[in-house]
Amino acid sequence: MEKQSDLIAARATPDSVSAIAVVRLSGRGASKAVELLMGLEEGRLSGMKRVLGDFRELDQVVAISWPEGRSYTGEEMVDIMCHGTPGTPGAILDLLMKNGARPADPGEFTRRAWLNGRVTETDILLLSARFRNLPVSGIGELEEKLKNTLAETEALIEFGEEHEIADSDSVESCLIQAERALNDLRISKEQIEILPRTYIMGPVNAGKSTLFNRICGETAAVVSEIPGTTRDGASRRIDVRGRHVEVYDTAGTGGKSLDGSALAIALRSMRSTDRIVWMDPEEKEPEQDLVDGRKILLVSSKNERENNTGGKWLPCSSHTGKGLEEIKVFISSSEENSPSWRLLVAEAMMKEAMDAWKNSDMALSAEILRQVMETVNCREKNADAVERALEMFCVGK
Amino acid sequence: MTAKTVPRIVIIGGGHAGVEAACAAAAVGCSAILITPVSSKIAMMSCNPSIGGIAKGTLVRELDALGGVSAFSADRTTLQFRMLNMKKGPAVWGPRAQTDVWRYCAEQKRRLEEAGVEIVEDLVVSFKGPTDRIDAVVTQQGKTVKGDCFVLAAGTFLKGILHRGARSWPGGRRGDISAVELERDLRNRMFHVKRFKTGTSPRILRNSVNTELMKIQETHHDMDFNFSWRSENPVKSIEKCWVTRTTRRTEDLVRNSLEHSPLYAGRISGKGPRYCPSFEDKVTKFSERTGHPIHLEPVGRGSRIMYMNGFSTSLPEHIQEEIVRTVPGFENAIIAAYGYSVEYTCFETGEFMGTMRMQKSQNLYAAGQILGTSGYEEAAATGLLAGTNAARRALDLKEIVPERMNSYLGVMVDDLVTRGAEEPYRLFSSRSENRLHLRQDNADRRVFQLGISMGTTSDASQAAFRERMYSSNLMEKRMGKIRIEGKSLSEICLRPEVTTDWVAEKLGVTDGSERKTLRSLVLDMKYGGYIKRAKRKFETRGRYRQAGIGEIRDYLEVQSISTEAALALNVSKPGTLGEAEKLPAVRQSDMDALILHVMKGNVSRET
Repeated sequence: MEKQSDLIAARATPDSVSAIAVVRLSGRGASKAVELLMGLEEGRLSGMKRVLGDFRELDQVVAISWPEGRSYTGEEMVDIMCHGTPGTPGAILDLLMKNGARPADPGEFTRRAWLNGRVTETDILLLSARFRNLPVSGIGELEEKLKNTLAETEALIEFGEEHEIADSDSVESCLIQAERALNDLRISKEQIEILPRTYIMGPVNAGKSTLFNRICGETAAVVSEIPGTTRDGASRRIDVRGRHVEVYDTAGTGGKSLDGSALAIALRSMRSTDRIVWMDPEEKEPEQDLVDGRKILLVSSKNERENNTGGKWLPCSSHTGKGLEEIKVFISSSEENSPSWRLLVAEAMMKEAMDAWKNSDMALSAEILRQVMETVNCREKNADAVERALEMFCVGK
Repeated sequence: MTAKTVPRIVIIGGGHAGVEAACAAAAVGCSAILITPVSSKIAMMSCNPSIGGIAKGTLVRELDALGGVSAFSADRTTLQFRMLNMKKGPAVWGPRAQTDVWRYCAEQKRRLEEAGVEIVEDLVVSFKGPTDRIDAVVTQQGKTVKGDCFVLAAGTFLKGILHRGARSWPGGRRGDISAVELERDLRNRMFHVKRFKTGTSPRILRNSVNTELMKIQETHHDMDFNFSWRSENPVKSIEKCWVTRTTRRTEDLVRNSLEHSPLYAGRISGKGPRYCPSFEDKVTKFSERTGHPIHLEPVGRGSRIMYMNGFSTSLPEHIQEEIVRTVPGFENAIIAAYGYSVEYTCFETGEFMGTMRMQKSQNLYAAGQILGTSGYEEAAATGLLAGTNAARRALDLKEIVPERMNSYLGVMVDDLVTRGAEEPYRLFSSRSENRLHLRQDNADRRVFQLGISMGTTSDASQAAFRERMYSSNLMEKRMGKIRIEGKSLSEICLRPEVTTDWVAEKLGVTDGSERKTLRSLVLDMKYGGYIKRAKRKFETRGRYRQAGIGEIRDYLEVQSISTEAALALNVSKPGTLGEAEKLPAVRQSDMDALILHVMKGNVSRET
């Protein structure tokens, strides 16, 4: 199993005074770090173990460890239960940071649990809804809405002539509600999916940092700033077009490509799903092993001239704002075939269904509605809609 | 060919199924003999006096394109015409005609005569010979009628029992006898049967109702429509229909009389159709609703009798009189014939195949309500198929099963054979996965090839169709050539807001029948993407049904399958996905999981 990620730690209980507080640690080397700090012999915390002991004279703590594959996150994990006196959990965290851990991002434990198949999307949706005190609106509710819309449409088609059962206003409001439910679900999905991550790359002086600042400055909503670790350059978490994304500004080097070490560093930290905005006023393409199946947007930067379509290169200027919108779309678009991407596709279809409805083509609207249901994996056998309609309305001569 | 070498098909029953079966058998090249108790009631409309409707009207058009006769007779006996769903999209337009019931009988009888079908007035009491190969039928008058193949189209007559109030009596419908002995013979031959129920509304004397208090139903008689491509003059509306509503008093009265209803007293065990409920059902299941619509429809031109559509009941006579008079306009109504329920025997799913032949027999076919269908149109369609295949088999030709993607006939046959009917089966447009294609306007295009392979379409119909296609192809070519603002007409017509009329204007098409042809062409182009997609999906499904899954040892290891399905599959170990699909525990989502499993190459795809 090569699913272990770097070591993260965070306080799992609220930041206030309490009898007990919990600090959670997950990732490769979690047990080792705690063993070291508690002065335990090596291997003492391997497996599902529980020890009571002294934590660097800060506090008496209970540490519980889980091996990889058996924990909540699916990784090696340790929970440290300390006293909830002011300062204690913070001091423990500090020590952990000095020993190779980094602070966990909000939701990062759960995201890892999801990536490792320990929890399902539905679990997360339910969980996040409960956290935010939201009504549990998820796929179930969307399904219900879509099915009802279809049933009402079918009822109107099959029996509407003689029975005035469902009026078209009610179907229209059904359609609107279903569209809204789709939209809600997509937004909540986007929140739990991996943040789309984009690297701005290119030769020195291509205008990368200008673009980076332009994007970050304009959208402002800075959520957190990740301290530059081994990476060269800066990274930001920002909201672009209503979507949470991560953007990295990398250091370019002279010539047409990155130098060996910068490229190596970039490649090591990049995931296959990361995107690249490749900037070059000279329009020279990046090396193949960098691209390697990743989504890439070629940007012809500092392009202030008019009428330069540039072929596959997007003309862009951080000064005039040319091409900026396209770059933002690229940065914030959903991963293809991810749940939110599918929901986005479904939303577009839903609009078509509404158009067909407005064009008095209910049959077409129903057909598209069925496609929407398929896209969001809500399957219904063909005659089911009529079955539903029969339960809902009094029909028949 | 000498007369002796022509095989003979015996059709038992002269209803909507029997007539089409006999005509089809004759068209394919056999001699046909139809046995029915009363020949003046051939193709009698025992219930509502109309043909067509949503999906049903489309089916009637398909039958016409396949050489059937009902459409032509309907055109000739139309009293009032409506195109249903005109504001809901061309795919679900439903042509429906109120028809002159008695003239329809006469017309259909004439069709039989034109086809050279021999009509025998008698009642079949039993089959002769082994079920595997029936030799003959024996009639009440003691005759033995031999045949090569047999089509059983007995409708509601198999041990039919009529119910009204506390009274029950044997009968196939009001005024007719019940086929009790034939039903017993079928049971003795170990056919699996079930009981269905249906009902009908009271008939009212026209001059006893006050139509001033009702709304006249609008018609679309100016629309240049025919069910049949053979008909020359567009249908006309020469009679009126009215609409009114029941009142609180009607509903309360029915609710308080339920103890007199044979249904609610528990004397009827047969399963009835939910989409065609009795009035007793309506007020019980939807008690909060008031004002159920009632349609008053003439049963014939100038006829004194009107059909009270929407008021199916089997309450006793005196209560029927009372409740009818609570409906506005019916205060002084005189009932000419009371409503009743009929319970009858039909075959269980699995007894017959897609060819309409019985599993247990080499030469016995079934059609119409005994298959579990309801409706004249459904009956006629199964009749056409059964008659065709009976004749083809007798002639040693390949039997035909229509395909689900191209016609409502195919949808219905597939549904009946693979899914079965738990209540009388009626066609709905949504039963088709390819509804945008299965329209009434293009029925001829869709089933032409089927008609050729069935051998039922006449030379004249074929020639007329080819002529339409010739003009269609010409128009299609011209649409590709005419360009407006850089785009061809065939591209522009895909836009939702572009109508056929607009295209016709650009093409300079003014002729009525050419316009109709153009309309089908344009609609097929508009929906082309959806139609292709539906077909592709259907084919994929079909392919995966063949996929072998016998190698899966433990279904619990299949990703995202439900435990219930996995356990059931572990026990039954089906060989293919198609077999897995038939298990009740395996649901659609489980099928998807299995398909994904196969697609991932976890299992070899060979069967």
